Amino acid sequence: MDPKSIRNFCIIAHIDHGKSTLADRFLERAGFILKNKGDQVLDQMDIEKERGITIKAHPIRLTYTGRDGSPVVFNLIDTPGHVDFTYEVSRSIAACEGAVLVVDATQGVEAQTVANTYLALNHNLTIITAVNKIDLPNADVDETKREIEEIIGLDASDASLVSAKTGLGVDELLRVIEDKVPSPSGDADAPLKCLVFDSHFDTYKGVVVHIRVFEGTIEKGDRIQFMATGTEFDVVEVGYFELTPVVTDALTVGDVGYFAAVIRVPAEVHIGDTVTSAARPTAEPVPGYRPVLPMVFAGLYPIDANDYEGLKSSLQRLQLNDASLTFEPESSGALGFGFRCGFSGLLHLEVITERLRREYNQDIIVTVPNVRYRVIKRNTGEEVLADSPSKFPPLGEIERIEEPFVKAEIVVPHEAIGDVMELTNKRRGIYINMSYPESRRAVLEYELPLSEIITDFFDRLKSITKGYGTLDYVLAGYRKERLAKVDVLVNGTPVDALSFIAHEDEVQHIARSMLQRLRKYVPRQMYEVALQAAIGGKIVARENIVQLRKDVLAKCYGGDVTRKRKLLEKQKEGKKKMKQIGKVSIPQEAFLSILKRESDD
Amino acid sequence: MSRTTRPVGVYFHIPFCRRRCNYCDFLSTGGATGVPNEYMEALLSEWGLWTETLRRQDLAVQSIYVGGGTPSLLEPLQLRRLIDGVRSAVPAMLDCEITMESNPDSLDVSKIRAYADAGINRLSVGVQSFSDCSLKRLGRLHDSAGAERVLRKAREAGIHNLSLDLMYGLPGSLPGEEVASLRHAVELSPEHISWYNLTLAAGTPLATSIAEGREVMPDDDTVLATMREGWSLLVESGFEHYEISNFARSGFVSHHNLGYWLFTDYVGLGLGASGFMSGRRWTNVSDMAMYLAAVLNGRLPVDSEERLEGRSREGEYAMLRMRLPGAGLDFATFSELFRDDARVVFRDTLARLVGDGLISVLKDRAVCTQKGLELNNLVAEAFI
Repeated sequence: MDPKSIRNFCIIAHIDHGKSTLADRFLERAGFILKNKGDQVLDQMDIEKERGITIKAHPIRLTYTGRDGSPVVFNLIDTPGHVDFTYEVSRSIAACEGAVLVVDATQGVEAQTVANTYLALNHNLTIITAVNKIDLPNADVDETKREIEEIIGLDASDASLVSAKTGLGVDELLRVIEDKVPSPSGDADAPLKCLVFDSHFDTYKGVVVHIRVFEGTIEKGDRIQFMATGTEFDVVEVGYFELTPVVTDALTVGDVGYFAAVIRVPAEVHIGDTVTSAARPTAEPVPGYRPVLPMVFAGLYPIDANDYEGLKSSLQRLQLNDASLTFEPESSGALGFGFRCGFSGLLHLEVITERLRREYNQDIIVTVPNVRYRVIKRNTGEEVLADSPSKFPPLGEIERIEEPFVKAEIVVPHEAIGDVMELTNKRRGIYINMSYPESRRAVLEYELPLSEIITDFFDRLKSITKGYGTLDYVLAGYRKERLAKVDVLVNGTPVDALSFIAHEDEVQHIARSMLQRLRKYVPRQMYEVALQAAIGGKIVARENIVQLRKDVLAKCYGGDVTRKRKLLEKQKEGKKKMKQIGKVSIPQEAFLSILKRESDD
Repeated sequence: MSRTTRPVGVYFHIPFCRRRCNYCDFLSTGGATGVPNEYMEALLSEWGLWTETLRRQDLAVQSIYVGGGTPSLLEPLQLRRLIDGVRSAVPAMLDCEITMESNPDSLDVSKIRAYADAGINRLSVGVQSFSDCSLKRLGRLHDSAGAERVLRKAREAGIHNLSLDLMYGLPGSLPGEEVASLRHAVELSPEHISWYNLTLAAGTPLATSIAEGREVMPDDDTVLATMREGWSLLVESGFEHYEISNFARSGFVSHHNLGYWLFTDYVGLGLGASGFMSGRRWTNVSDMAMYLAAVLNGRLPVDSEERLEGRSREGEYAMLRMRLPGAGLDFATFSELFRDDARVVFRDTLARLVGDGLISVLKDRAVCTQKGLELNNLVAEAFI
């Protein structure tokens, strides 16, 4: 393929701003027939569809007739739209020369759009602006253009005006992409240099590596090397993606596609790694990739201990398509053997656990999520990196606890400044600066504990600012804080899986509300159950579950007997799925309930 | 009766009522003024499909139970045909217990006498409460004075085995009201009292009323206190607490009902009725047209059935036996029935339940403790 006829680009858009619908129109223009309107081709996973978020990048090759009548190949690489998936976005972006920024004419510019556009600009991508949903009666094209110019700082005077729904302006937009997005450049005769931007697992082919070729050529029979690990494999198949993988002879400069090399161990393939020729390696790997940085950690445990291996292989499979997921074995006194998993954020955690349940049929318990703390030990000065409360040394050995802080840039409408400042103060934010780049909006700079951001900070910000607030943050190192590890005891037995870390000022409040939530989910038992929260040996909160005193069926005659027995059998099955803590049965939901942080009341 | 003769119960379901009660989820149609002869013929035809089997197995009828619905909507003649139909086809035991359920609002003395003439020797009266307020809320058609009147008339009509049905745990009851109602019942000296904790059944007007907040169910602790007080009252008044909700003066337990908990065979006849024979339990269709059509064509109107075997059969048996405070799970009867030792089969279960204070194991049987009766579902669940 002549690189001159290739355009590699991604679409940057906020959730619901019409990215997937636009992609569907692109597919139709490339000759695909989409029968079911609304079946958005790019959103493959059920969870994505349900939650309106795109998690995974799907490359797709589209062939059009160019201005001069010859074929032009568009490689469209989808980008996830949520704040939790920054790393995936950066991978997609690095594989492209251009990006189409889609802004909903009824909604205006949103936070994540801004952050991702800057990410694209940092990678020197050519940005094409498109104002979508112009067919809607409440579309405000001028205001949207103004926002693009004022908030993002891009010239929007020649923005494409489209309706992805009706197809209006889509052909014109395709021409603009052809004209403006630079075709890839590189030396096809140079040593192979490919970027790994994704992968998936195939039962027969092993790991299928998604690549963008920058230099050289890759074909079947090549011996390749992953530069980060040094491991080598023989390529058995190369191809590209249309709606399905299509086998081809070779991929060369500018191509986006895949190769398979009978790689059986998913962990051998690192997203962001560079693939080169084993015999003739390239001098420098592809730059610009961040290492995977999980920010939120939680324990995942099989309900049934026999499912441990199944959970392990499910996590391995998921990791293939999800570079931000990390996991390592851990064990819990209460829950047995499981895994400490790292996630890019809370939403990511929810998506992964939901996929484990639905796609892999894993019955799991998720423990309270937390960030990675740095604990300095008394006397020795030894430093412990604790991504789980169970890794905290005993209270008496702790000199101090430090937690990760982020530098956050929060853009808010003028009238919401007060409320947002109140929110950041509640979340232990440290004020740095405030500026007014334009009259209606202020940019607040804060340092905030990461642990406060990962829960529902973004949701709260959105709600306070009626959706206009935006948030971007980078890790800004560790700070000493007055933190405490809180243990939860069920009838005096500590349940390590329920331990959590909280700021000393908030311990009482958080512990009480947590026990109250827990109480709702633990069924009444034959004994009174005491739920306690403790720091060291000191009880800071207590709730009781009164004992079950009456549970008896009044009538059990002829026809009732079968019904009764079946009901009891079902209950008995349900109890088997509960975790036994001493004599107390705790259902999965109890553990899950802890995840939900109460609203700021 | 020969040595090999086994007892069998016969149940007839009369799915008609003048009006459906607010709490009731039994299979019945409201608005009835009587029972159609077509249905009575169908009952007899269905019975006819069983007689050969029963005779071949050398079974003898130990009890007939006419339940509902409101069986007292039956004309005495209709009832007589039913009972004669049973007795003429299959040998009945001399002391065969023949019960009919009734509602106070559809009874008068001549009718009761006619029922007795037809063969009824045990009358179960659905009094439910002696509080007019409660009766109204439950949607019953009688008042407490009416109920009392009927009981006197039953005695006059020569019924020597009288059972009263009462309920507790009703929404809106005043403190002490339900026990007072029970005391009132005791004072009328019936041979048998069934005292039921109201079970809220989905889909009933009462359930809707509760869901919409128009009425409130009493909390568990209140009901438990009532239950304990009522049980004590009954036992102190000379009643034997022989099943969770059933109390009888000496010699007056309901043999028919006891059969359900002792795995005695019984044939269930009529719309939606259940039967149990040789470990097989079946339930008839609940659609009247389907029922009539099947019986008319000489087919058993069975909708579903299950065959209990092995451990699940033993478990269900134990579950039912543990509803009997005095008899409990009798080890000798168990081994006779299953050729298996309950103490071995349920070793872990028994040990755990003893440890939890729910049962006591005696030399010859396991019985529920007071706690085990109050938490009987936990006991039952352990055995299945």
